[in-house]
Amino acid sequence: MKRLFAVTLGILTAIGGFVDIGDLVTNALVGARFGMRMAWVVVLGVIGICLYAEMSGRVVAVSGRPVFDLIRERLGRRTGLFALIASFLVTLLTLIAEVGGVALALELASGVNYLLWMPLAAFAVWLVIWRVKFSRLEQVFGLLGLLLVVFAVALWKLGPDWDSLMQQATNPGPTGHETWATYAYYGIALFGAAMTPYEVFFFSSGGVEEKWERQDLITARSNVFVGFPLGGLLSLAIAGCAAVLYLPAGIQVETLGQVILPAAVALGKLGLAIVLLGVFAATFGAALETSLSCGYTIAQYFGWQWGKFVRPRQASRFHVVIIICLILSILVLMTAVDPVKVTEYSVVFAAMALPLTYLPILIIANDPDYMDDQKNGRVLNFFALVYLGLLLLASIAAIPLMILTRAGR
Amino acid sequence: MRLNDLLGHRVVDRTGRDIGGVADVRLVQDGPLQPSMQAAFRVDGLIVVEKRATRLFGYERHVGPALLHWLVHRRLGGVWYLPWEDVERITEGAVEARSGLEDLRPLEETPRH
Amino acid sequence: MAADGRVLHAQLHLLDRQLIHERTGGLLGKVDDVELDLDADVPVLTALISQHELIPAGQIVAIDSAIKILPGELNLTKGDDWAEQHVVDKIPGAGDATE
Repeated sequence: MKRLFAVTLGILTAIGGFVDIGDLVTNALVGARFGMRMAWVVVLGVIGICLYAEMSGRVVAVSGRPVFDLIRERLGRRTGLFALIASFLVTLLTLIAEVGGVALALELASGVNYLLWMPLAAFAVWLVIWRVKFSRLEQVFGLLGLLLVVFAVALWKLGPDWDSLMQQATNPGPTGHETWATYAYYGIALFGAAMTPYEVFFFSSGGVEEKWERQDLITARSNVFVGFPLGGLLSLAIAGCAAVLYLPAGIQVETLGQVILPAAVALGKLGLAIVLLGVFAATFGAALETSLSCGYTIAQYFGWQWGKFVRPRQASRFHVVIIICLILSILVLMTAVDPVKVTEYSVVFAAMALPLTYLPILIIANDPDYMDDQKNGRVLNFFALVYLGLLLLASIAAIPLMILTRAGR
Repeated sequence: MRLNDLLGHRVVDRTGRDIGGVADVRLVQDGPLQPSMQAAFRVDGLIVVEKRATRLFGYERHVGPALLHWLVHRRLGGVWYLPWEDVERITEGAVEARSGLEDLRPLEETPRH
Repeated sequence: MAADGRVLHAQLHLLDRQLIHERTGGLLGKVDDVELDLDADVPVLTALISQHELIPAGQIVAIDSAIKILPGELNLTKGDDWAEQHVVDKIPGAGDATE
C-alpha cells in the first residue's frame, strides 16, 4: 500500500488527463458511436504523455525547475506570453467544467439540482487547496479516483463479446453513418486530452511540491509509468462499457447519467455507489489539478513565489489567482452553460498551447547545462520528435475539423 | 546599455554592408575584481546571425536533438562570432564592425567553457 | 584565446531566468533585462533588471538553472506584499502551514 502512495501524484495527474468530466463523457460518447475503434488513440496518447511527463519529472528532479519556468526561458518573453495565455485559458475552461462536473456528480447522488451544488463545490475545492497538505490531497483524490476501476469490473460483468471488441479495436475507422471527419475530430480530441498541457504543469510543479531531487528520479518515473497507463485503462474501460451498452442500440451518450449507467446495470446499487464516489473524486481531483495549475502557470511565468510548500501568505499572488479563477468558475456556471460543452471550447486554445508547451520541454531535456548526465538519449529524442510532429498536426487540424464537423455532430 | 536594446541591432562591416543581427552577447568571468570578491563578467564579443531571428534556443552550442538543431540553423543562416575588440562603435540600431564578414569565425570555433 | 573564467551567453543564461533569494530560497521574479556597461575600458555586466528594479552584479551569488541573489535592500515582491495585505491576510489560516 505504501508503494501505491508513492505514485499518487502520477495517478492524480493522469485523472485530469484521462477521466476528468470532459473525458468521462467523451470516452463514453466515443464508445457509443465508434465502439473500440478509437482505442489506439488512447494508447498513442498514453505513450506520448509518458514520454513528456518523464522528461518534465527528470528536469524537476535534476534542476528543481518546473515546466513553465522553462517555457518562458526558452521561448522568450513574448512567445512565452502567448503560450501562457493559451495554456491558461485551456486550464481555466477545464476548471470551470470540472467544478460543474463535481456538481453534476453530486446531483446524480442526491437529486438536488447541480446549480445549487455548484458554489459549494467551488468553495470546497478552494478550502482543500487552502488547508490540506499537497501530499494528502494527492493521495486522497488519486486513490479515490481509482474507484473508477469499477468500469473495468462492470465491463467484465456485462459479459461482452470480447472478440467483437478486439475486432473493433484492430479496425480503426468510422462505422455506420459516421464519417472520417468526425472520426478524426474525436481522435484529435482524445489525443489532445491525453496530452493536455496542464498535466505536465501539474506534474512538474507537484514534483517541486514533493521536493524531488536526484535520488527521486526513480519515484518520478514510477509515477509516470504507473499513473498514465492506469488512466488510459480507465478510459478504455469507460469506452468499452458504452460500446457494449449503447453501440448496438445506436444510443448517443450526452449526459453523465448515461456514462455511469453501465456500472449500475452490471453491479447494481453497489456499482452505482462506487461509480458515483469515483466520479466525484475524479472530477474533484481534476478541479484541484486545474485550479492549482492556473496558479502555477501564471506565477511561474512571472517568477512569483508559488506553491503549497509555503504558507499561503508567502505566496499571496498565487493564491489570489486561484481564488479569482474559482470565482470565475461560479460566475460562468451560473449562466447554466453545459459544463461538458465548456471543454469543447477549450479545444481551440489547446490546439495553440500544445506545441508551445512541449517544444521547450524537449529542448531543456537535451540541455547538458540543465541536465548534466541525465539528458535525453537518441532513441527518446526520436520518439519525442515524432510526438512533437503529431502534436503539430493535431494543432493544425483541430480547429478546421471542429468547424467542419460542428464539434462532432 | 540594456541587453534587450542591443539584441537585434544590425551588424555592419567597414564597408557599410549588413552582415547580420546581434543574437546574443558572450560574457567571460575574468573582468576586474568586484567588491563581492568575484571577477566581473566581461563582454567578450557578440554572436551574430545572418537572418532576422533573435531566438537561438541554445542551439549555437550543438545540443541535440539533431532534427531541431538542423531546423533552427536553417532558420538562422550563418552563426558567427564578433570579438569585442573588432567592434568600432555602437550607434542607433547598428553595430559597426572593424572587420568584414570574411574575417569573422564561425561560432563553433570559439572556445567553450 | 583560452578563456580562464566561466563563459556565459547573456540572453541564453541570464534573460528570463528565475531569481532566487540566496538565504531563504524564496522566488523573487524573473530577469527582465541585463545592464551592460559598454563604455568602460573593460565592458562588463553591471546589473540585472527585474520588475523595474536594478540588481547590481555584486549581489549575484550563483548562476545556474536559476540565479541566486542577495537582494539586500531591494524589495522584489511588492506585488505579493500588496496581495498579502489586501486579500490573503483577511482569510483565516493564511499564516498556517498546511497540515
